[in-house]
Amino acid sequence: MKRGLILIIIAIPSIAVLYFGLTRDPRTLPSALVKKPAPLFSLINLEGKSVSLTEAKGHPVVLNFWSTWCGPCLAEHQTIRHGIHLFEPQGVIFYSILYEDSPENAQAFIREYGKAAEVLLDPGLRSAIDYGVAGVPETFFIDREGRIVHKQTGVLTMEVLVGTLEKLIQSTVAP
Amino acid sequence: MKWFFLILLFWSCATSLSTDPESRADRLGKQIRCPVCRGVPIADSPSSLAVEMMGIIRAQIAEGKTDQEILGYFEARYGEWALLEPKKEGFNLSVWIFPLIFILGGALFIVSYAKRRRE
Repeated sequence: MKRGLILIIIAIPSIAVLYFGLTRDPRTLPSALVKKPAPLFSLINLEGKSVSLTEAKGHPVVLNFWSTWCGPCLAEHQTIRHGIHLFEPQGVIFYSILYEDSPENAQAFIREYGKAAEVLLDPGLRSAIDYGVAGVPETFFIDREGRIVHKQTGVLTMEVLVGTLEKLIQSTVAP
Repeated sequence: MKWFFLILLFWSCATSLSTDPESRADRLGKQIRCPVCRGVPIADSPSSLAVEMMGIIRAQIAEGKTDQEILGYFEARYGEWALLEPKKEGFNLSVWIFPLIFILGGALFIVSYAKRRRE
């Protein structure tokens, strides 16, 4: 009886810890920023014009961190282009922040694969660090109130893009 | 041997209490996980993201921020995952509590087993 009780005392927490540890994806970093206000930025675009997140106030925003040297970024490029075609008329604003890359590479990429979101330069990776970016691609969905509602690590699929934006548009009322 | 440990203790105290900004930046950088290399602190990581993060630490030291404020800045952005020494609170306590439970459980088992053997 006693031995059974001791075994239960040891087994239950052990199983709980193993369940907690083994059911999580070790490659996925939990985002500390979801449900928090999106860090503000003021960055220069490829035309040399300053673009600030505050300009998008009242609009849902898709903020994508990408690089020309990143294979998955190329894979999601057409998804973002299609997303812009579908959701820009509904007031969604798309930004792409260049990560560890040069404006020349970005311009060559756009010439080859077509323009998607407005490309912003992030020298010093300050915005990437502000958003807790660990690599590319990473995509943040920001609601009309400026809160991050979802972070997508890795390739952004059409399913995630459409699903998240539809929920975002439905759940918030345009000012 | 005793002298060796005394010197080691003195050296570790001296380095931990160092107010030199670069030493302090290095000490703080050793406590933050590199988001790229993951198993390495940013102070030892060659990745450009880690280099920029170290730059932020140096800038915040120059601004007069406390160690807790600097660590908190990265924790707010990358989550507690970014801290190489997790806080002793919440679920993290299990790391300290479970070994105790196992030791106590084992001790109880040995005592009850020895009692039964004597009987």
